[in-house]
Amino acid sequence: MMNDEYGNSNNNYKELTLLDKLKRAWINEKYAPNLLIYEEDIIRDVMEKIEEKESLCASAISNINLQFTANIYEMEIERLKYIIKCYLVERIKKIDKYYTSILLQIENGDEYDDKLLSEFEINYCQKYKALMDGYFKNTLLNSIPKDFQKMDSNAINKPFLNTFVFCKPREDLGDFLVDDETIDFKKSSIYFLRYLPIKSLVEGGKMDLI
Amino acid sequence: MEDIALSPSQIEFIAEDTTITVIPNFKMESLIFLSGEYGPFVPSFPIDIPLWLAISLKKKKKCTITPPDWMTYNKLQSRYQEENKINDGFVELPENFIEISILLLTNCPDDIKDINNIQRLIENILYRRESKLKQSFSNHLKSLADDESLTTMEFKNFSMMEINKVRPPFVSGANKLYKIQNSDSGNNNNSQSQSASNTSSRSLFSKKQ
Amino acid sequence: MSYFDINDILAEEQKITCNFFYDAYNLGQLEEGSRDSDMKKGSSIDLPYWMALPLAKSNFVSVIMPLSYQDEYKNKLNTEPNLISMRNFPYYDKIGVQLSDFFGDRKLKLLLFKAFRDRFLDIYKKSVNLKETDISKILGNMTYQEREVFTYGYKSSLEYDKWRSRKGEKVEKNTNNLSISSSLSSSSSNNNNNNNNNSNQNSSGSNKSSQSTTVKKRKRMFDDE
Repeated sequence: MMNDEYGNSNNNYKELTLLDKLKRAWINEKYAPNLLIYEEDIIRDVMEKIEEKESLCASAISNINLQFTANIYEMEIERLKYIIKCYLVERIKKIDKYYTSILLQIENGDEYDDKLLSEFEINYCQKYKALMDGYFKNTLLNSIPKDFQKMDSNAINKPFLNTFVFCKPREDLGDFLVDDETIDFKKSSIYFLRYLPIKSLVEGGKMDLI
Repeated sequence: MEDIALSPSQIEFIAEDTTITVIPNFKMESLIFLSGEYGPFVPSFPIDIPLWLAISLKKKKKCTITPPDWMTYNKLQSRYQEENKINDGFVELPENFIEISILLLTNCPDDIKDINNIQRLIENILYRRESKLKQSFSNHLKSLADDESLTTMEFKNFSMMEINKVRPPFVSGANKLYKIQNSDSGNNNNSQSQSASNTSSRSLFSKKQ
Repeated sequence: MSYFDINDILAEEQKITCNFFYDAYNLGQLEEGSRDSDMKKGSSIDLPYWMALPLAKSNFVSVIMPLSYQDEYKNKLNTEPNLISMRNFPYYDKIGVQLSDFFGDRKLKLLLFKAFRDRFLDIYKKSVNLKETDISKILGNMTYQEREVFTYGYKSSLEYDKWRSRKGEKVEKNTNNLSISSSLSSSSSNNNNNNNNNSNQNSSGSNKSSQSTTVKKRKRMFDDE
């Protein structure tokens, strides 16, 4: 059962391991200007493994012979937790910044956008918005003339989707039109270009930001 | 800063998942990590394990590390010569070669033959690559026609640490140039005619195949 | 231009000379030294860009391109982009782009692009080469946007050097200070501060590597979270 998700390091063709997937989720989230879909499956799977291993380690406390192995697993757990934390922090940072546009996106979007946030994040995002709105009202808006009290629709922070990024295709993708250029995306190359034209490739799992 | 790039130690952290050959001096059953199964550990039998584990075992004097093939003096020497020969691209090295070499040079100097020469070669290679990168980047920018938007740059064998190092100035500079050219897109009236299309992507860092 | 960006707001303070087409009631106070409560038709005064823009759009005033965007300065910028000091024009590029749209001056935009492309190259090279020099003087000659590029390059290469010489902090130690507040506060500090070379990184601290901690100890750590 465990074998199929573990890559075979002797083989040239490498299946993505759960660790690879987790790291990609983190790095893509780090470099994408917009919030990406919450990687629910990956996070859940990794958390399960961590719990499994933690209970394994806990049971090894009494056994001197197993302590060494348990220590090693503890190190692995620490590393995994670090990546998960980085991933979640990266997301919370974006939520703090773009909370209004994220909520709008969920409201007006399709099924895809429904999965944008985890349950916890939706909760957080809504509360955060309520706090910010209340704060603006109490500190400023209530004390200026009525006509100016409404927040301008421009007064929303939106991610800058035209930012330049470094990216790497997961496989040879062939020709794509980026602005006026045709680019033959090759697995072996790294590209420096604007995010917007490749946004759907990143979201569709065909391209990784690096 | 951390909004644009990872810190060098985070890049190093990521590189620590690379596998490396060690020769253990102890016996232990296989370890099952999220990245795969490693082991069993048998004294004097070489085994591939993640670098972070290798370094930890090394610190506890439980193994010796076999530096990867590319990190030997002869290999690096020929890489360096090649790097000097070609002008528009980088020679092929592992994408984490900077992090791995630094980690090994600091953590298991006793396992590396010719350590001083290797250190010097890596310095030289890095220096050469950096100056090539600067040159090509400036060629790329200068090659743009006056009203041409910044086109896609293609790189080969550009390592993670090198990307991360140039990322903050590259990204912020390129974004600002983009904003100069596309300032009126916010005012709807996008009358700006795009410059003549050029169909070939500028393949700066790819070897001619 | 972003609503919440203080620099975008400050950039729009650029003064534009406006000529009034009509008498403007109760605007006499805008005119320096005027005792009249109204402003006469034909009066010429300097208004900030953000005010001149709507007035001009409604055809109340005619506007004149600021001197620093007229031929003499533009020629200098065109021929020797890297020699020009932007000390007195920290928002030259930012507001210049707005002005080129405002005045329909497409050539100005082309010039700005070309000038800042050349300056960017120079700035990038300086940012990675100048170490342990006093950079405040160099920064002073740049626009605000250029300072940002420079600071990014400068910090990035300092951080890299620090890591190369193994003085940087290790990732394992970061794990616990990954709080959101700290990341937010640091992200705001990358603006045009001069000599901030991140000396606040803790290079000290006990070098307890994670492998030496026992299972028991670790368990307790988890409970804390």
